[in-house]
Amino acid sequence: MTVTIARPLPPPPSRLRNALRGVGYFFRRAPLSAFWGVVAALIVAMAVAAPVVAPYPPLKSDFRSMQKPPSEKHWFGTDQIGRDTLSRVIYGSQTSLTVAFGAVLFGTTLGALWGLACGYFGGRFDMLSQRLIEFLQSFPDLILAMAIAMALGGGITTVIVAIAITRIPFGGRVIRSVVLSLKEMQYVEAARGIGASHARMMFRHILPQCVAPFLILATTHLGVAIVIEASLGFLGVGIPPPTPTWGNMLSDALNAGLVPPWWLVLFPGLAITLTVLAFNLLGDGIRDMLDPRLRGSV
Amino acid sequence: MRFLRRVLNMLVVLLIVSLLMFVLVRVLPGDPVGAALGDGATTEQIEKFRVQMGMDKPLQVQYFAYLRGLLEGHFGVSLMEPRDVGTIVWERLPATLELVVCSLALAILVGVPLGILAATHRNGPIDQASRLWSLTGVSFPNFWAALMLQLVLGAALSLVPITGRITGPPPEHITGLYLVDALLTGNFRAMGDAARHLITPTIVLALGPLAQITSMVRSSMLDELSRPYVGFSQAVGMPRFLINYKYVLRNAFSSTLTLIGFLFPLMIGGAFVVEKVFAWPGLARFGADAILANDYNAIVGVTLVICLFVVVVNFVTEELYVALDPRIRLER
Repeated sequence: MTVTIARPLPPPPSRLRNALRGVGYFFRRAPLSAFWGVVAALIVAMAVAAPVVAPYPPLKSDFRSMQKPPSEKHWFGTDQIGRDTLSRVIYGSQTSLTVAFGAVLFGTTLGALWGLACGYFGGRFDMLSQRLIEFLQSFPDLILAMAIAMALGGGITTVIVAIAITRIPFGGRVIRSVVLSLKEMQYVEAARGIGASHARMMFRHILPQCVAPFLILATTHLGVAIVIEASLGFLGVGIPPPTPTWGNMLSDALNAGLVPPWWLVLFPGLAITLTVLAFNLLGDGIRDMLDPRLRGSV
Repeated sequence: MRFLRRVLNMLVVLLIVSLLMFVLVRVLPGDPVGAALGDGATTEQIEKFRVQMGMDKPLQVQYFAYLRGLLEGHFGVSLMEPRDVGTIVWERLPATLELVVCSLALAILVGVPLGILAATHRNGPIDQASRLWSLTGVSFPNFWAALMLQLVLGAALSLVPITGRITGPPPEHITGLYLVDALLTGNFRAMGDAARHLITPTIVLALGPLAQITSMVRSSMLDELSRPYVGFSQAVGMPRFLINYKYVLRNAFSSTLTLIGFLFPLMIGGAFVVEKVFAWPGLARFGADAILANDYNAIVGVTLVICLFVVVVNFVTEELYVALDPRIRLER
């Protein structure tokens, strides 16, 4: 009597392996975006490692070298009270990124959930929500954020909340339109047919399909949030000084005289641009990879 | 009939905005009276001031009094300078309008042809450049662009003035738009000077919209170019430029028009920071100051005026939309 033993199936690929494969695919598919993704990662790393990377403490004034142009000692020069610009730019990334991630996590997500509910339930709830969203959207982002930040008083939490609120309508709009088309899909109808509850259909069947647009939206919003945060700092309603933020630094530069020294303007601005560009291009690449149909829609 | 209904609709929107803003500025924390009178004010002084401003009355009484004032053209007294907000807004509005209209014109005049070229020469150098720009253009805050241009064009090269709207006396006041006033009065010195002052702020404010208009024109042209009628027209031997400009562009333009409607409020937001950099005496700067000073009447007044413009611009773009695109008939 012979016993045939079935050869064991190969173990299913682990999640980590899958994720790594996804990253590899991304690099091959969109090398440019992947490059900018690396830049974004480096900026995040720089923010985390700021105390190690920065050559000087960001608040320490050196009264012997005030408002000096870039030199070997201070690569990015110093400001009016002799603080090292490079160190301040590095520490500034902490605030900018915290605010941006916080605002997106809170605002875009809330907006997306709202959009999910609107698209799914429709009817009067949807109509009311759409009017509310239109109202929120009719104000320029910056003015809305400024008013909220001002009303709630300064501080990092306030700034996060203020920017998050300006992000809600966009999340709502985009996810709603995705849900509207998903709702008509046959598999959703089938789920309804076998008696799935509302919650089950929303979270089990529709929500997973919204992840791609959400990710794209979130990366783009990171960039927008950074720009708004900088603008708030520049207008003087952001995170109060002496905390180094890129917007505060540019605002300070303006106080350095009618014509501010070029290094005080160039470097913080470059930091903003580079960071935002990195997130935008990364988002662009994710969009191309996850859903080519969404090209240009977010 | 439809027209009347839309106008009524706009009025309702404005009414709601006024109510919301009116309540919001009063409910949210902050003490404008203390700030306006300074630290040295006594309790009696503050109380007297509050009564003077009508702030001791219930909210709904205050609101209806405010609405009645609006009908007579009074926006309430500003706390920053003791004058009616309406007067201040009226004075400052032309400066902002001049800036925003010039920027929008620049963005359209450059963006539309650029978008067309990018679409018709797909993947060519112009296309690549415009795509790169559409990503970069939204990536930096415009106040940074303002500061950099100020440094380069104004300070280093001395090509344009650094700040302000005009040097020397402004032209005789007719519309408040310096360019128009100067032209009407034949004051060409003032006109040239005002134009030189306008250059940098206009460019800065146009940068973002330019990128958006270009990419919108490009993508809607590309969509339209892939339609069957284009291939058909080509097959029957219609010249390329006729297809492109007479049919494709016209069909592609309606989405761009909607975008322009959306851009308007965005540009006013941009003006908030750009006006600060260039010390531009406009409405947006007044609005920013008002928010910083928690000046109730000024905040509500400026918001209402901005809202009015947004609503009107949306209305006009939608009407144009119908006029340009016979496929759409608004049945509502």
